[in-house]
Amino acid sequence: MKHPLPSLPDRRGYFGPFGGRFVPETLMTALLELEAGYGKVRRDRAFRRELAALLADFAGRPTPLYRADRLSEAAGCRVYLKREDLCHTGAHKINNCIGQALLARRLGKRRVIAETGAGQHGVATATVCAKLGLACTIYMGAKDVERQAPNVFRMKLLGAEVREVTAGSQTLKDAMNEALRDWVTNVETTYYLIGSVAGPHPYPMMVRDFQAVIGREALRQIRRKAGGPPRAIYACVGGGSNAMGIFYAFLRTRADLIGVEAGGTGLKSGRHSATLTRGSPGILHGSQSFLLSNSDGNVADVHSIAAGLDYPGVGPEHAYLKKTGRARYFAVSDRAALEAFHRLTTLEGIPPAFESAHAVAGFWKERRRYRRADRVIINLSGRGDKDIPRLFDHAR
Amino acid sequence: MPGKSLVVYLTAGWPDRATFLKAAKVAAEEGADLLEVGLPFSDPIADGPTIQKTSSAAIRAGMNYDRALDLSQRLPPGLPRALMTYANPLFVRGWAGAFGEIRRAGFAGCILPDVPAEELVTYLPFRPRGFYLVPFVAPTTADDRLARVADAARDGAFIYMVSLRGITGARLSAAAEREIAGRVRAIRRVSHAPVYVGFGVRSGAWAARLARLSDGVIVGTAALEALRRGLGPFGRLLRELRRSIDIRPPAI
Ligand SMILES: Cc1ncc(COP(=O)(O)O)c(C=O)c1O
Repeated sequence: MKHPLPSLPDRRGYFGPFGGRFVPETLMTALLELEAGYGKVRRDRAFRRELAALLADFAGRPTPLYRADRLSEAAGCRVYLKREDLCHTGAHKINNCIGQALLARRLGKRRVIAETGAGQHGVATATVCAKLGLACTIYMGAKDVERQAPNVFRMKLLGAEVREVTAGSQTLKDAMNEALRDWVTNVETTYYLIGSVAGPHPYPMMVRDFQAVIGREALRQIRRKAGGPPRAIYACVGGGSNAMGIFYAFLRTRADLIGVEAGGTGLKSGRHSATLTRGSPGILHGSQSFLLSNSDGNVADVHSIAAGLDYPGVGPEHAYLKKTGRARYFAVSDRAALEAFHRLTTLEGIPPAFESAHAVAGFWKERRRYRRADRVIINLSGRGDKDIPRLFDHAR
Repeated sequence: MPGKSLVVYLTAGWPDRATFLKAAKVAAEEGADLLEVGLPFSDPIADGPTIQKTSSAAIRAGMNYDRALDLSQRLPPGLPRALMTYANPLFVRGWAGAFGEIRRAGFAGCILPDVPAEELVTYLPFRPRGFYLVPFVAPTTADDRLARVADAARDGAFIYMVSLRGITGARLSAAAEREIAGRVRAIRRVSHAPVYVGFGVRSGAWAARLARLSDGVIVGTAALEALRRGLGPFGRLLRELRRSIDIRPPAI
């Protein structure tokens, strides 16, 4: 069976009922230019060669597909980790940043802005801007500045200006509001480098395409190394870029696609960011998708131990995958993610990012579904270095 | 030629419900032609610090969709009004139902700054008859999109001309004025709808210059900042704006 998805979004940027472009009029021309510019480079040989070269020699691709023997033994099936944690800057975010920053340069923009939650997207953006000689401003919520301090310092070392956002919940959502306001003000000189498969069309499509390298590699690697396709793929979902990146190449296969959201202190507590599990359709930050908002349409305060998952929205393509049943989504708690962090660290010697620990925890919760011969891939979207100082503080 | 219009924005229920209603009355007395009532939204991406703060204060004080519509029944009956909010508060109610309720609460139309013409035209069929949705034009709007904007500006809608690249409360400049003039000329080629210019109108002088280029001005941030000081300063600002836009430009 061929899944219709690979040809989406449609010309208006919709994945079924989700997507679109909900932005101030001032940005429309820039979005149309971006769409046209992306349409051009997508088919351009020289661009693709430049992108491939940077992904290989700058980002360190392909990343390994690693057979986690001790975790497999403990879980009772064959577990493979897609090692995005080994990418330069420590997470999958760099894949998208290289693609978009090259595009920004093609479009003649000299200044790049971005929002960041965990700081991983901010660090990746600052890194690529340093390499390409672009001015870089990063918006980050004050709460995240505090809990991801090492990444803030890193961005500054890389020459980026970090603007702390004190409005609203002081997390990723507010950083994105502020980045959008900056873009409206400086639209002609500035490229807005969105870090996930969220935002107005063409971002959800473009970011997915730049992250799809994860799934293309994984498909090739699992066939070659493990002799057959996977039964299931687990990935954490904040905005949804690492999950879309690994899912995309597998849409037409039989693999179960499972997105793991942040359950925070528990779905009943109200302190979570499980948008697809608990939210409903809504419009935020440029697209129609699932959203955690109240009956007045005001966006809910959300929580996760993982700053990169602490977001009330989600990319529109995930909303569509949920609606069609091609992927399923559930949440794991802060505590389960922390346990998974320790499990992977002690069993495999790989400390995952708190975000990625949610994917590990999601798999662990469902491990009994699988038989010994089943192959399961977990997308290890990032490494835990940025989170270790917080564990250290906790331990004291 | 009809006179120029003065459009005044207030955040529903700010600084408190009684003062909001009194301010609306002052606006009517000082000759406002249209009241733009802001239904506060948690994430107002098109707004600067002033409207962000009035919105979050109003939400904290319990303002919401139902209460804003209730409160609006007590606005001065002779003063036409439009509801300004973002897409999500209406989307979660369902567009068709929300438009009907808003109309019954006495609003002539809706202003949705995060819904560009491409999306707006898909909602036109859901409106009650005669209820308008206001399309925006920005300095960056290319000529080839103006037909779509004109198409959305049906049934008595005006076109909201954003004066500058930026959010509400930003500063105007002479360069912005030249661009506005160019955009308004381009709009006139495709639409008969009135064009009101908003964002950054703070003084009588600017109001006069922008009104000369268009059919009227929209004042928001400056009105709220005056109202923060009191009903007196608020009334004086509106009087100054009214007087400035009514003065016939000197013949050249
Ligand atoms: C390591 C890591 N994984 C996942 C995410 C969540 O983003 P997304 O859902 O777009 O992959 C982040 C975001 O900062 C991250 O740093």
